[in-house]
Amino acid sequence: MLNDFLKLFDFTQDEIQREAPRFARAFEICGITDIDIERGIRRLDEYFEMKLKGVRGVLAATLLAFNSHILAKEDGAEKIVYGEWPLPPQIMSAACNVAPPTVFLGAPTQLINVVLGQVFGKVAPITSAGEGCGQPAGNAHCALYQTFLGAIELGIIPKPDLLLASGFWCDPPSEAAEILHSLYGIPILYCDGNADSPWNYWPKAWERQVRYFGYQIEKMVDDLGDFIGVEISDEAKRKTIKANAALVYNQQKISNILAVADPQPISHVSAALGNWLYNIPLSPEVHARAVNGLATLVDEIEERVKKGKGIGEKGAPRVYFSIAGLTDPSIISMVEQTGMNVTNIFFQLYPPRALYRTEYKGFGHKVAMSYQKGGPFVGSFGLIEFVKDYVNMCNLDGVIYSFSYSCKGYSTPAQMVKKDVEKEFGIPTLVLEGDIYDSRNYSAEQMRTRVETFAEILREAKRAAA
Amino acid sequence: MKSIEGIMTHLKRNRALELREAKKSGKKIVGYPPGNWVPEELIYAAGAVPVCLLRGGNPEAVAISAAYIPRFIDTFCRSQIGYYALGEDPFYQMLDLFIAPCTDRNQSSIGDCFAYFTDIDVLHVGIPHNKEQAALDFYADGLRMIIEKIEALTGNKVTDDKLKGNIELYNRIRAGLREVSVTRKSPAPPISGKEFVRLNHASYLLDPSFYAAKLDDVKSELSETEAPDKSPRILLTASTLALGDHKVMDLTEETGAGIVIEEIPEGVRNYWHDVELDGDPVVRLAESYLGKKTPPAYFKPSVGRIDAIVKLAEEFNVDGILWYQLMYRESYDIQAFYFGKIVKEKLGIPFLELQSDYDVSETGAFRTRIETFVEMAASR
Repeated sequence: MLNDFLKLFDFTQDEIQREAPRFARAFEICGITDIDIERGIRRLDEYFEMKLKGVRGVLAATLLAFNSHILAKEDGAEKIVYGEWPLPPQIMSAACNVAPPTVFLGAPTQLINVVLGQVFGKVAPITSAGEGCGQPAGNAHCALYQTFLGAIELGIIPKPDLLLASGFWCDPPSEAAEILHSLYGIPILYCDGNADSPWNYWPKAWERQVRYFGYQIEKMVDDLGDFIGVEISDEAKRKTIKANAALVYNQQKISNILAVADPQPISHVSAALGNWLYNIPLSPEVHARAVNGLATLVDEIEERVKKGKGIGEKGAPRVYFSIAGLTDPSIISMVEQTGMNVTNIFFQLYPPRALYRTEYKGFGHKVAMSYQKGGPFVGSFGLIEFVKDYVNMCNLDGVIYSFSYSCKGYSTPAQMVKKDVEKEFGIPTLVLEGDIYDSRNYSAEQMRTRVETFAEILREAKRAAA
Repeated sequence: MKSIEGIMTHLKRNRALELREAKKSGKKIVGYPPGNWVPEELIYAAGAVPVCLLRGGNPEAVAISAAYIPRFIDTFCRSQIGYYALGEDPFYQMLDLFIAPCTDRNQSSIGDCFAYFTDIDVLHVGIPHNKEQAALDFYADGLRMIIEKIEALTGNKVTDDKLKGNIELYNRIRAGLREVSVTRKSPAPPISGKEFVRLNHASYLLDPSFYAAKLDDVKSELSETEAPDKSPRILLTASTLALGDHKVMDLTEETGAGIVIEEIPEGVRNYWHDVELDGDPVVRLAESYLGKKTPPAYFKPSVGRIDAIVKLAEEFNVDGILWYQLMYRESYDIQAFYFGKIVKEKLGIPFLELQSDYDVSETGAFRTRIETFVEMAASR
């Protein structure tokens, strides 16, 4: 069964021979049985466009990265460091460039979400275990961090020797780190910051924040270097900015094609796969595989657009859907099945006015600056403006602002988005409660009635306008 | 206590009228949320009047907030736009500027709601989450932003002399509150926890000169008060304890137990430290309001708060710790998870965690749990 599974991802025979025992061991640790693999194969067929080489390539990179996290200790890592989203990935990637082989730096939870969630549909028990570690159900704790703690508690990923936590965008990363510190005494490095950009300020950068956050990034890099026993050189930092840009560039290309395509050429379940990789430090081999996979996917999607092929009908109502469903592909799939053209999801598509060049030179300031451009990262105003830019960029007929209920950064502006979009553009906006990392309370079936009705409203509006 | 009732009556009957008159005569009113991040000294030094928006406890304000903000935000923070929308509290309706400290995502949402749904000018000010030098500099920079903004609003220049004068006045208030608070170290505290919290709340809204004078009356009444021993002695810690949110204090004191000390980052003025008067007053304010403060749960690391609570419990010889938090304030929820264990290990006293959404239906369950907790604390 495992070999049948691995054959789906274009691994060569040599690779299968080399990797199969590692997959077997990683799956054993995660409790993935043959029955789960069978279900995984079915889910891949149902939700992912496995006929596209690019999708297979990106999934292969994801699976290899997943294995390296699960097996880090068994692979001989003596020091394990974790830093989860939204910690700037460049910090750990820069360290990876110079770290000795006995140091492992990783961000395991997004990989767990994609592999154990999207592919195998088995992430809920891990999230549940995290609820037992100081983040109880019903209190709106972030499921990303519940899963992170659950995975450590269940022994799915090895306990880290150091945690990197951030506080510039949201509170759970540092809070979860504090729990781990209290349970296991794991030391923590904090990267502080804030989202205090003045209202009406974005896309301009808030200088005081660039300075403070930039300093915090540099400080974390230095402290991390001390921990792993190697100075993280300027060259290592330059290299990581370049490497990260290669992934972002290709993923942005995909987002830009989908933003204007008619019909929608590919499901966002497949199109978004690259998004989840650029927050994770990848080995050079896996990084190369991911970049190649994404580049291939760009070509394949362009080819479909040229031929006018798509997953829905041409002329379907165009809609932005703000949640990604990182653990559960059935949610996006359900929205697409209602016959709407989902032009973009989440906040991955950067509006042109956020893509200006700046004069910042240092690594910390450059990285901090990139976060200033990302609308939601500077506060509610930036988020609202992002969505409003999408209306024009994607020629939208409607907006579904589905917010992750436990994510305060995304939930606070929900009514503001609705009010602004409806007032300024006169298009319907549906606000939906959801969860990007946990579909136990917000399943596709629960959302279906409201989404189908919304789709019908948009179709009627289009018919009337015609 | 008569003197405290007098202060509260003045607050209720006269303060809003005083502020209306002040506004008519051209004074600017500057609002801010509780949390002790916005030094009133700065606002008075610019010739404006600070008003802390610290109403809470009303389920109606929570219910109406649902039209503006999703449910899964801290109850107090959510209810602030509710109080504004209800239009019943005059303090919420008279603001010329709202200073919004961005502490965590919950408090930040208050500023976002005021910025979007009202015509009030909002100044967002980021609060760092530690006390390192870079954080102190960042916070001091934020204080200078506040000064600049209020100077532009009032047309008045904030001078060092004006600032120091106001710091002196607030030091007098802090010292007065400190003096009142420590009387509760006595086995027979002359003032109840609820009375002290109400007195403290009033300091956020009344004219500071008037309030400082009235504090002297309170101290003098206390010196003449004879009270019976209180047992068990309870430490109340909360994420936010708002003006009007008296449920937990009432239920606890109705059992006969005494709340003898509080550790409450939002809703109780920090009175333990004065602001130094030498040097740059903005730097001195930053050192006191950030550097000397007990770190709230959203600080990283937040362990300083745990140590501070343990120290207070020992100093005030308490028999139990009552942990009160509002729904969806995750930093406090997480801290409660490991703090309960620390209380058992270090102090060996009962610990009760209560969560409120300002809902009337909570009262019955709270009463049962508090009564049981008090019995456990009493039987030590």
